[in-house]
Amino acid sequence: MTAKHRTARVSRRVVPWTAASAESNRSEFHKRAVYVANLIGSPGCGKTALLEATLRKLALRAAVIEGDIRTSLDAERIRATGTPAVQIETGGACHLDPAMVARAVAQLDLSALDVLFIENVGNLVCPAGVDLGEDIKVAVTSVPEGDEKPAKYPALFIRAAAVVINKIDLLPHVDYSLERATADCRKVNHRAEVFPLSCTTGQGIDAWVAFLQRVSRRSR
Amino acid sequence: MDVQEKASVHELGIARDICVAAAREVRGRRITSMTVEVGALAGVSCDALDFCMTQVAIETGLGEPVVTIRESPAVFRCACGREYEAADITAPCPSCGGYERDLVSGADIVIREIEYEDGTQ
Repeated sequence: MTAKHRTARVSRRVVPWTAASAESNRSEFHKRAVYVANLIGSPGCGKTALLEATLRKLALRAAVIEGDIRTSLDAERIRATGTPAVQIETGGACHLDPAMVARAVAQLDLSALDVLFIENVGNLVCPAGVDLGEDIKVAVTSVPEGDEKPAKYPALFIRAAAVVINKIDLLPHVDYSLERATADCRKVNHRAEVFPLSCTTGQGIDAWVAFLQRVSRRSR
Repeated sequence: MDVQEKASVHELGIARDICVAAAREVRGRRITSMTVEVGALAGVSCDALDFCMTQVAIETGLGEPVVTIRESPAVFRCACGREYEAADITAPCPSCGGYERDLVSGADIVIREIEYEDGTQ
């Protein structure tokens, strides 16, 4: 008997394996009233420095999950601020997945937290499409990277509720148009709030912290 | 208290997701070809996915399908009512010139066509 070949026109949306795990994280976070922000940006854009500066000013009980390919250097920096931190070493994977986050969350006491920051692996591409169960994605970019990042990496910026443009203290030394970067953020995603700031000088940090206080309170 | 994980390539997991969805669609029959659309804003490299797909299909027991992967454009709906495909994400709405728009499609991965062997007469 020869097999017949049939062609089926289908329209099946592929549900990633991570979706169920992300929803399970989300429901756990909501049950414990923990607001979760997933920080995504290039290596060296200052994600950990942003968290250090944020944690010094934020009047909320916070913890941090750090994602890196290797080392627990970033978690050590966060712990030095007195904030609980769990490091995930992905061993080479280009982004965190929600199952990794669930294993890290098991090390934390969610009932003692208002806010959880997840610092994703430094990468503008892969983490963008992966839901970890967070409330918001935050795109972190910086002046030395160039002002074309929002236009070049729309998959991230279109999903971000907030965009941080770090290292604005370097604007006098770098060919970077803050106007262009901000305008491109708004073109890609008109709902995103944009926070130009410097973790070195502290300029702009207050507006960013006020945003976090506001959005996290709204969810509780 | 820190957690060490084993590495995997991003698109490898997505190839598995696609093969699992395809296997459900044909209820375990062998697939000879399939067409997959990857949204321009899915955050997935079509080349890397293409590289993984055939091998993952064999491992998943789907057969050795010819896999076609094509990118689908971002589609926005503007506040003015216009719905349009945006080849350039930073280009404004062709009707009103504004940017107050929401993504309608272009972030998903969708299986569009599957050719399979059907032994039943």
